Amino acid sequence: MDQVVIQTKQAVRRGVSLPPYLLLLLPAVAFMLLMYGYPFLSSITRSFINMEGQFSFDNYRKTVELYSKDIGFTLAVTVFSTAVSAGLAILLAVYLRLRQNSISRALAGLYKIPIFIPFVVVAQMMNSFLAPHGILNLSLAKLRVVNMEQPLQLFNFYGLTFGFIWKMIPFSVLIIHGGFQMIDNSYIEAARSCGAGLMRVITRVLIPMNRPSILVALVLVYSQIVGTFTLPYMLIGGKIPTTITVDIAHRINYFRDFGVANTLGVFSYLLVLVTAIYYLRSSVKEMAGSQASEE
Amino acid sequence: MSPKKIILVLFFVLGVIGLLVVGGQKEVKAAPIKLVYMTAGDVNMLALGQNVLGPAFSKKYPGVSLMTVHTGPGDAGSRLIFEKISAEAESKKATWDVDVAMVHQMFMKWADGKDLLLPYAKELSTWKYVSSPFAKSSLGVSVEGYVMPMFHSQTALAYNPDFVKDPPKNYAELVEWVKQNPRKFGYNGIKGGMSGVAFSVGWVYWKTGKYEKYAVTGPFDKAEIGTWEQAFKDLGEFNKYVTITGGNVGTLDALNRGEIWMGPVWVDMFFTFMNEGKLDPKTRMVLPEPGMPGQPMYFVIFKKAAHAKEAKKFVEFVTSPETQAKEIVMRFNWYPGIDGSHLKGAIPPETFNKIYKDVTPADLAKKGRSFPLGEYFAAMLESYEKWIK
Amino acid sequence: MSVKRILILTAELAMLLLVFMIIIGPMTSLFIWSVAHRWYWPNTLPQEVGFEYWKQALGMRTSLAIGAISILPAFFLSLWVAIVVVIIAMLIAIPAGYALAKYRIPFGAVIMFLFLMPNAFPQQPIFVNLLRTFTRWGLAGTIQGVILVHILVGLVFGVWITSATFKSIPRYLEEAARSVGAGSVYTFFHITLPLAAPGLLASSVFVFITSLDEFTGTFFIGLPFVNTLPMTLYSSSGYNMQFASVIAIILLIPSILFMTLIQRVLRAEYVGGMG
Repeated sequence: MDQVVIQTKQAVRRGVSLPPYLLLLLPAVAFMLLMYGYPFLSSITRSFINMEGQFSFDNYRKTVELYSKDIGFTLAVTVFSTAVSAGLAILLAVYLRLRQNSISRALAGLYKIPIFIPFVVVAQMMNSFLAPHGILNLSLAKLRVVNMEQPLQLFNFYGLTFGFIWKMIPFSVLIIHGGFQMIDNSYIEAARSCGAGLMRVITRVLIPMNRPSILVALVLVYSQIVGTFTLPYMLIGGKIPTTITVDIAHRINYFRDFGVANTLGVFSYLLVLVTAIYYLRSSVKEMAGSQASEE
Repeated sequence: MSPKKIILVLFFVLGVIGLLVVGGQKEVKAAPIKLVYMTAGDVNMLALGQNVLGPAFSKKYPGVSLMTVHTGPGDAGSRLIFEKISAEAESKKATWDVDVAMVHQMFMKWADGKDLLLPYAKELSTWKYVSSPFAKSSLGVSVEGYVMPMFHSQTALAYNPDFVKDPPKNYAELVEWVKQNPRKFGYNGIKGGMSGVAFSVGWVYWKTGKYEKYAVTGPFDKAEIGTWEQAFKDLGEFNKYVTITGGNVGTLDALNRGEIWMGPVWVDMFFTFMNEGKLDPKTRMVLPEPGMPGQPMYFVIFKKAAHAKEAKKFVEFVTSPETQAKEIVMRFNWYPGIDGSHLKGAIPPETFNKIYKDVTPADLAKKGRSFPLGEYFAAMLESYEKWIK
Repeated sequence: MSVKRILILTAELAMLLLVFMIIIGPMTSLFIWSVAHRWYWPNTLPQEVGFEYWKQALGMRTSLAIGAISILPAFFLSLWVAIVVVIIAMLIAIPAGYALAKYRIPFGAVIMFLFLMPNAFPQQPIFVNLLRTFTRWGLAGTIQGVILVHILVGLVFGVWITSATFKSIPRYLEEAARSVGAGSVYTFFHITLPLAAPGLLASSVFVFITSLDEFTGTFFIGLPFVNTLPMTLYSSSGYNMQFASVIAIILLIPSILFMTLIQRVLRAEYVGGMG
C-alpha cells in the first residue's frame, strides 16, 4: 500500500498526468471485459449451482470425490512439462545466442517447426508415433533396443509430457531467445574481459538480464498446458488418471452437467492463478526495484 | 518509404479491405433457398451431405440448395447442435439459423420438454416404412412424430481371426478369454467414446439380467443403483487384464496396429475403416450374448426453422427406400433406418452378405439392445467412475 | 584445430542430429499418412500409396468412397481471418503492452492476469456462455463474431510478450533521446519500436498462429455459416487419418511463410546484434 502512496506522490511531484497510460490501456482492457467478463462470471456462478438449480457446494464435493486424482495428475504433468521445457529452452537459447556457426543456424531453423503445428495435429502425430506398435517402438525394435513383445508404453504421463515438451520448447525458445537477442554483445564482452567463464556469463549476465522474457514464457507455457484438451484426449482419453480438460468434456457431453464442469474449470483456474501471482509479484518487485534505483 | 513501412501499410490496407469485403458478405442472400443441415458424426457425413445428398436433392427440387455443416464425431457433435439451438431459442429470434439436423439419441433427452422441435414425421410419405421401436422412444423419452431414423448402428466385438481362433460367444467366455490373453482385449472405459460405454452397459445388463427394467419399461428406482456394486467391482477386476484405449478410434487403431486382438466397435465405423484401408479386411465381428447396445441416428427439424417445408422434403428424400438402399446400405454398409424388408431387391446379394455376415438380422433382432433409460444411463456412468478407480 | 574444438564441434553435431530426430520423427507419421491408401499391421509402411487425398482436398476430385472434401474455401477463410486478427490485436496490444511495461499502474498485476484468463480457464464452458451472448447480439455464425473470438484468445500473446519486450529496453536509452530534445512520440517510433521489433514480431507471429489454429471458440461461435480449416481438421482427425494429415500439412504453410516473411523484413533493416 505504501508503494502506491509513494508512487502517487512521486507522480504528482513529477507532474506525470494519468491520461497517457489510461488511453493506451483502454481498448485492450475494455475488449477483454466486454467479451470475457460475463461468460467468465457466469461460469463461476454456475459452479455453485447444483443439478436442482439451487446454490450449494454439491458440485465441489462431487468434484473432489471423483476427480481429485485427475486434478493432481494435471498439476504434475503441467509442472513437470513446464520445468523441463523452460530448462531446456534456456539452454538452447543460450547456445543460439553465443554461437554463430552453420550448425547453430541449422538448429535455429529446425527448432521452430513445432510452433506451426496446431495441438490437434500434434495429438494425432504423437498418437501414431508413441503407440505400442507405433513408429517410435518399431524403429527402436529395428535397432534392437526394444522387444516388440514388450514395447514402451507411452500412453501415460511420459508420453503426454513428451508431447507437451515437444510443442512447448520451441515456443519458449522463441520468446527467451528474442529476449537474449536484445542483450547487447558489449555486456557479454565486458563480463568475459573480467574473466568470467561460460557458466558465469550465463548465470550472472544472460539469465538475470532476461528475466521478463523467461517469466513470460513460463506462465504462458504453464497456462497453455493446463487448458489443452486435444493432446490428453487422444493420448490418454478414458484412462485413469486423466486431465481436467478431458473430465470437463466428459461431464458436459454425457451428463450435461455444467455445474461440475465449471467447478473443474475453477480448479484449473486456481492452478494457473498460483503461478501467475508468482510471476506478477516478481515482476512488480523488479519494476519497483528499477524505479527506486533511479531516484 | 522504407520497405518495412511499405509492407506494414500494405497489411493494414489489406486488412481494412478484407474487413469490408467480409463484413459485406453477410448481407448476401442467394436467390435459391438454402437449407441448413447440421450433422453430427464423422467426416463421411459431411462428404455425404455435400457431395451426394446435396446435388441429388437439388436435382429433384431445383431452387433449393443444401448447406451441410458438420459438428464433429460422437455425442459432442450432437451437444453442439443442442447448445446452438438453445441459444437461438433463448434469444427469441423469429427464425432460426438451422433447419434440419442429424443427431444422436442423447439429443432427444436434452431436448425433452424444451419445445425446440417440430412434430413432422407422421406427415412424411416415408413414415409408413418405419417399424423400429427406436422411432417411438429414445432412451425412455417419447419421441414419436419428432424423429425419423436415418440409419441404425450397432456395437459388436471386432476380432483378429488369425489370433482369435474361437471367439467368445458370450460375456462369461470373454472373461475367461482375457485371463488367458492378458492385454489383448481393449476398450476405452466410459470416457472418450461410446463403444466403451456400450461394452460397459452390456456388462451391467449381463450381470444384473434386468435389461427390460433398465432400458424398456422402467421406472427409475434409485435403489437399483446400490445393487450394481458387485457388478462394477467385477468389471474393475476384468479391467486388470485388458488394455484401456483412448476412444472409439483408439480401439480401432490399436486393432489396426496389432496391439490388441479384440475390442468393442461400432459396426458402421468398422466398415468405414475397412473401406478406407485402415483395417485389415480379414477382421471379423461377433455379437456376444446377452447382447450389446446399438443406437439410431435421428433426423430432427427445428420448431422455428426458416425452411420447414424444404426440410421435410429433404428428410423424406433421405429416408426413401431408393436413397436408403443406394447410399446408406450399399455405399456405406450401414444398417438402414427404415425397415429392411422395404429394401429387398434393391440391394445386391454381395452387399447383403457383407454387412450381415457376422452380425445377422437374427442376431440383431435377438441381441441388439438399446441403451438404458436416461436416469439409469447417467447412474451407470457415475457408478463406473465411483467404483472403478 | 585443437582437440577441444573438435570435441565441441562433434558434440554440437550430435545435438543437431538428436534435435532433428526428435522434431522430424513424430512428423514422419504425418507425411506417411497423407499419402497412404492402405495401411494396416503388420506393415511398417503403407501397403498402397498415392495422392488421392491431396487431390480431394485441393478440390481436384470429388469422390465419396474416400470421404474427403475440398478444403480450399476453409483455407482461404482461415487465412483472411488470421491476417485481420493480427492487425487488430496488435493495434490494441502494443499500446497496452507499452503502458504496462513503462508505467506503474495500480492493479497492473490484475490487468495482466485479465489477458491470461481465456487461456487459463478451460474453454468449453466459457464458450457455451459466449455463444448465448453472441446469439443475442446477432454475432453467432458470423465472421465478425469469429474474428472477435480469435482476438480474445490471441490478445494474451500480444500483450504479455510486448510488455516483456518493452520492459527489457533499458530506460536510459529513451531518456537519452529525450534529453537531446526528442519528443515522446518521436522517441517511441524511432528508438523504442525498432529496439523492440524482435519481440513485437515474435508476438505477432504467435497471434497469427493462434488464430490460424484456433478451434474451440470458432467451433461454437462460427457454426453453421463460418467454416475454418481447424474445424475441418477436427472433424476428420482420428477418424480419417489420411485426410487429417493432408489438412495438417496445408495448415503449416501459411504460418511458416508468415514467419519467414517477417524475419526477412526485420533482417533487411536491423543487422548486428540481432542474430
